[in-house]
This record gives sequence, structure tokens and C-alpha cells, in this order.
Amino acid sequence: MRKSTLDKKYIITLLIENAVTVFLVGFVIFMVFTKRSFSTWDNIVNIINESSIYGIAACAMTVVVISGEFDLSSSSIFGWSTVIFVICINAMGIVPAFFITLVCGAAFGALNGLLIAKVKMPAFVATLGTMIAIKGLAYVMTKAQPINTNNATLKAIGSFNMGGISIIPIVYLGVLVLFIWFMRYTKFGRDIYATGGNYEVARLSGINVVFSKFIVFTMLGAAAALAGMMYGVRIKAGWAPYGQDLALYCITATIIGGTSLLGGTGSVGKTVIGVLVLAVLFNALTLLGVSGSMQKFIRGLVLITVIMLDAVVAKRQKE
Amino acid sequence: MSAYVLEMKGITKTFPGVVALDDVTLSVEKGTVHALIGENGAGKSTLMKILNGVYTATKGELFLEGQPLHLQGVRDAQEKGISTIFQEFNLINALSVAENIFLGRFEGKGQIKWNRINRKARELLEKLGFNFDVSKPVGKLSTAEKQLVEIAKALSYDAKIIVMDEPTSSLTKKEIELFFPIIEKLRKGGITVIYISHKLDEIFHICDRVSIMRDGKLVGESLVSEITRERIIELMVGRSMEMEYPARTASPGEPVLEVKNLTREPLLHDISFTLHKGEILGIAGLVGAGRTELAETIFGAAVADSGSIEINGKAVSIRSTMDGKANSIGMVTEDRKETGLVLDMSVTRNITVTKLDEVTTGIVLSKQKEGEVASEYVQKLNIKTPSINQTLYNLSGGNQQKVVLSKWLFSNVEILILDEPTRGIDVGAKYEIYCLMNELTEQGKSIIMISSELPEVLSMSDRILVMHKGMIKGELTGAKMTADNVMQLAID
Ligand SMILES: Nc1ncnc2c1ncn2[C@@H]1O[C@H](COP(=O)(O)OP(=O)(O)OP(=O)(O)O)[C@@H](O)[C@H]1O
Ligand SMILES: [Mg+2]
Repeated sequence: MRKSTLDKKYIITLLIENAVTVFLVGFVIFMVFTKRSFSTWDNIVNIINESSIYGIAACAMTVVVISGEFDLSSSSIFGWSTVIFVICINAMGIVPAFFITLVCGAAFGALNGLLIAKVKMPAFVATLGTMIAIKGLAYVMTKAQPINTNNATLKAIGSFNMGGISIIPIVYLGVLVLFIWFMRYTKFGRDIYATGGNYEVARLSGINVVFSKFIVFTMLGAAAALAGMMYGVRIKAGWAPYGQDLALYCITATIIGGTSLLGGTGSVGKTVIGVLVLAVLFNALTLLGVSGSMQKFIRGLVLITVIMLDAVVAKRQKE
Repeated sequence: MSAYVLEMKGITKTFPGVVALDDVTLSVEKGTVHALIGENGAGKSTLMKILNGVYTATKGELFLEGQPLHLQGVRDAQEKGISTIFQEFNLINALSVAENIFLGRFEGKGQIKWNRINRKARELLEKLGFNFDVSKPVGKLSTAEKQLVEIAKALSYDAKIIVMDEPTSSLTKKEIELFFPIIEKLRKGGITVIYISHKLDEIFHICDRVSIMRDGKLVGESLVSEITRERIIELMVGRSMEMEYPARTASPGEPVLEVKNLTREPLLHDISFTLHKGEILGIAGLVGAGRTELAETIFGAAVADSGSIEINGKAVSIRSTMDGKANSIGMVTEDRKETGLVLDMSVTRNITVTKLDEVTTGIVLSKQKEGEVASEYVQKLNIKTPSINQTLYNLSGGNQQKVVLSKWLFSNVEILILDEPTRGIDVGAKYEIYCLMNELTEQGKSIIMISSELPEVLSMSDRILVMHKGMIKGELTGAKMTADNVMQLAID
């Protein structure tokens, strides 16, 4: 007779753990039946193209979360990258622009890494500070105005099209495979898991914990820059406020995927689902005619809900 | 009316891939101290977690004072008079002693009556024969004092049964001596204590009855006065054991590690000693004497203010754990949960973490090599786990300890520092670990062993250093290595 309560507890835990997948499936079914335009090939391609930009940064954000940290400044690095990318394209062409932007992003990430891993500042304070500083810098560079480019190569890249799929999902796929491989099959990836799982244990195992924390922020800086450039490829412009919501979006996608904010568990592969869930959700809201401001509200609600679920699941697993 | 305060009948508990308890029946008389002992992974902790509402049994029934007992959780069990003192205390460090005792049960409407709560907390501690400031934050207390707070908390719930799962494993010898009278007081007060320990001496010292478990089953029960130490070991290990310590097989050679005038204020003062090849150097002393701090400083987990370290005659600079490892030094830390293991990770990953280079081809980790390594150690140390991919959370305490040892054995370092290496490990497995230490020293490796268990230090060391207040107070060799001599040096 005690068994029934046990089963109930077990099923509830299972449901909460897979709440996201359950929700996604249910929601997709709902949309397919209520909105014809949802399940058209055009719209599906649109979802894929749209989600790929932030998806690139989300991969790296997952690695940061696995290491037990998070990064708010990636939004600003993204915005900054659109700016510097376009400026450099106009000044010296696309290839130097690509590398300069990437190095800039990595450098900003490295600065975060230094502050957090070496100086031991809390991630919240450090990345809030760099978020504001980098954004300010991007505004200064452009006098707060958007800048455009007419670069022919950029246009050519931007118009690449394979059955509706642009270049961006292909880059996303490459980044995804790289990060999954890095975390699963390299020593560095393993060290990051250990560092996030228990910093002191990792340190006392002779792991270079400072480097582990440093490198994850550097990688995220580079990934945010790459994402910013992809945005540049799409809209052929740069502006400081672009990508404002990137950091929270990536953190939300990471948690939805099942990587815990506590660190040490989860995987980059899972975040793909998180990115997809958010993309489908916001695409559907747009199709349903929900206003932009309302979507912002919902975005906040989703973030709070998933963080709460994360805490609930963690608690249940402990018991 | 049954004379038993507690009966657990036909308890079975399964986890995925494991039968942790198989039809266990345990009856406990009121006002007794009932010992529960058995090998690592035998199911002792699991049985107690069923009693205190953490788990529900897959099968079986509980009776408290003859009445069927159904528990909804830990709090429910507490309110019904069953309290548990876990090894990891359930206390909030930032809150005061009194706050911790009455957490969630503060009196007063709207405004808390602090005076009354503090007075009540004081009374509870006085009942146990102690008197300390109840407004002090728990974080400032010693382990023994924290344990006392836990016991006071149990009393505040009018506990009928108090379960203690390896309560003395992190207490000092002196603290243990103060701890036993508390148990005596509880028994006199009609409270039943269920006492889990791997230290057989304690069982004979304070327990009335003993139940012995092996592989999830109850294999024996007796009055303590009617059973011998040998018989208990035989029942729990499944074979008779001639000795609890093997003879040393290696003999020390030339010096490998020379520590000179090592100082780290305010913990270590002017420490000098030499470790030889193939030697087991025991370090004894009271908790707080600076033994762990010395180990940390040699390994690089902490940095010395002054002094030098030479390895094989060459001066080395060790400023981080990476330096330590690069100089082939390893350290098994004393607290497996805080500093030894990543509990979220699998057995395999915890073992290979110290030497991932060994299991990589090029820059790619080889899951196959990792699996082979893990399987090797699971077999060698007889780690009880359903698979090498099990997360450490789900292993029993003693088996977790074996994983900590494995990870440093795998790292294959020349100088191995062991800080309380056999904490929570059963008698049989201890013997195996001592044999492994012999094997390592035969291979020319050297061991520094810190231990609060005197018999262990005396039996396994080639030489003993006794520390006191951050200094080496004396060195004992040969026939001078006796319990009396060690204690004399360890105490003021
Ligand atoms: N939550 C769990 N999930 C899976 N297996 C578990 C879980 N808890 C315990 N076990 C398994 O049940 C068995 C009994 O574990 P238990 O902790 O009761 O042993 P124990 O007798 O207390 O051992 P020790 O002396 O090492 O503390 C072990 O094999 C352990 O791996
Ligand atoms: Mg146990």
C-alpha cells in the first residue's frame, strides 16, 4: 500500500524532469492544429534560421554554466561584435574583420575569465560590470547610431541558401559539434565538469581550476562574437543594442535543456532542445499575434519558471 | 504489548540494479543501545533511512511501540520520536545553537520569544551535561559540539529513538571519551539508541545488543556480552580473520622527501623531517595539531611562508596542487564529501580525474581505457557498485572512501599522503587496504599516513612523528612506538 505513493512521487518527478519535452510536444501539436502557417516549410526554416544565431552562443553559455558560473556580458559582446565587424569590413574587408571581431570577443571573454577565475570576483558582479562597459564602448564607437555595409562578399555569404536554410545554421551545427566533442572527449572538457561539480575537489585533484574557469569565459566571448557576426551577415548592419536579450536567452535555453545552474552536470547537446523550445515558443507567439512587449513579459516568465523547475528537480533528486 | 520499542519486519529495499535490503527484520528493546554493524554497502544506512522517513521500503512493515508506523518524511519521523544524527549534520552554520534546535518551531505569535527559546535550548544542553553559549552561531562550533546540538535537537522532539550513523568517525579520541557518557545519559533517560559504527571497540564499550548485516541481510544478532570480537568479524566478513593488520613487508631505503624548517603561520612552525623510499611514515597527534595542514602544504594545496622541500635531493618549489602532482605527490583528503569526490560524477570519472593523460589517445579521452581502469580498481578494492557508471551519491559511505583511495592509487604517484585513509571502512576492507599499502611500498613508493586511529598508526607505520600545536613534538621508532608514548607526546 506504500507502493502507490512511491509510484506517484516517481511519476511526478519524471514529469517535472521532462516537463520541457512534454510541453514542447504538446505545444507543437496544438499549433499544428490551430495555425496552418505554423507547420509550413517556410516557417520551419524560419525557426531554424532564427534560432541558430543565439544557438551559437548558447553552446558556449552551457559550458560556462557547467563550470558553475554564468555570464551576463555576452549580450554586450554580441552587440559590440556587430559594430566592430561592420566597421572593419568597411575599412579592410571581410577576412580581417572576421578575425579581429573574433579576437576582440575572446579578449572580452578572457577579461571576464581573469576577473572571475583569478581575481575571484563573483560572476554576477564581474559580468554585470563588463556588460555595461562593453556596451558603452560599442555606443561610443558608433555615436549610438547603427552603421551599414554594402560589402559584396558579405552579401554573397548572406544570400547563401539551401532549401531555405542560410549559412547560419551550418555554422551553428559546426560550433555545436565542436563543443559537444570538446566537452565529451577532451581532458579540458572533463576538467570543466569536475571544476563545476566541486571546485575544491577539482583543485585538490591537481586540476588547473583557474585555467578551467578562465577558458570557459574566453570561449563564450569568442562564441558571442561569432554569433554577432552571423547577425551581421543577416542584416548587414551593426548597432550596440543588438542582442540585448542574448545572455538571458542562452541561460534560459541551457536550463531548459537540463543543465543545472549548480554546475557539474548537463551537456551542450541538451541545450539544442532548449534553444528549439524557445524558438518554437516565440515563433508561435508571433504567429498568434502576441505583441512584442507581451513577448518580453512571457520571456521573463519562462526564465523564472525554468529556474524554479531546476531547483525543484535538484531538490527531488537529492531526496 | 511487545517489549520492543521498534520492530522492522521483512524490510526489502531495491534501487535500480541493487537489492540494498533483502527481507531484514530488526527488533530493538526500549532503553538499549543497539549496535548495527556490517560490511561497507551491507545496507545499514539504507535500513536507517527507512526508519527515519528518507526512503520508503519496497516491502515490509514498521512498528513503533507495537503500533504500525507509516512515515511521510524526515520531519514526520522526528515528530513521532525518531531522530537521526547523520554524518553530515543538518545544521545551518549562520544560525545560533538555539535557532538550530528550534528551527521551524519558534514560539510566539508574530514576535519570537527569544528568551524562552534560549532558555529551553540551554536546558536541553544541560540535560546532556553541557553548558555553552546557545546564541553562538553553529559554524563556530567544533564537530563534537555540533553533534551535541543535533542530539539536543532530537531531545527537543521528545525522541524515543535516536539513530547515530558512524557518529565517532570524525571525532577526536578525547571527544569520543566525552561522547560516550552522553549516550549513557540517553539510555538512563529511557531513550533507545541505534548505533552504527565500524569501530568494534566502541560496540563492546557502550552497546547492549548487536545486529550484524551482510549483503543486505541480517546475518546475526546477539547480546554484546555473549559474543566475541572474532565472531562478529566472522559474521560480517563471511570468513574468519586471523589478524586485523598485516605485517609490514617493505623496508625503508634512501631519503626521497626532505622537509626543512617548513613554516606556515599560524598553523605550522619550523617543521623538519625526512621520508624514505618504501617507508610508511605515520603522523599522529590530536585534531588541530596541524597534521592536515602539514599535508596540504607539502602537496601544494596551501603555500608555506618559509622553509624548503627537497625531493630526491633536489630543491623543489610547490605552490599549487599542480606543482604537487608534477612532483609526483598525491593526497587522499580526510573529508571525502567536501574535498575528495565530485558526488555528481560517476565512479569512473572520479577515479580517472587525477590522471586523465593516462586514458587519452592524442587529445581524445578513450572511454574504453577509462572503463578498464575503473573496472580494475572496482575489483581491486572490492568497491560495491552496480556499475562503474553509477554516480557517487548512490554509493555507501565506505565504498565512496574506496573510490577516493582509488583515484590516488591510479595517479601512481611516488609520494602518497593519506589523511585518515580508512575512515568509514569496514574491518575486512581495511585489511585489504593495508595490504595495498604494503604493496605500494614494496614497489618503492613512499607513504605519509595521518591517522587518529592509534592501532592503525602503531601497526602500519615504520616510524611515527607526533605533532602538537603545529610542531613536531617527537619521533618514535621501533620498540618506542607504543600507544602510551604517542599519547604522552600528543598531549601537552
Ligand atoms: N539512492 C541509492 N541509489 C542506488 N543505490 C543505493 C542508494 N543508496 C544506497 N544504495 C546501495 O545500497 C547498498 C547499501 O548501502 P548503504 O549505504 O545502506 O550501506 P552501509 O551498510 O551503510 O555501508 P557503509 O558501511 O559503507 O556506510 C549499497 O550497495 C549502495 O550502493
Ligand atoms: Mg553507511
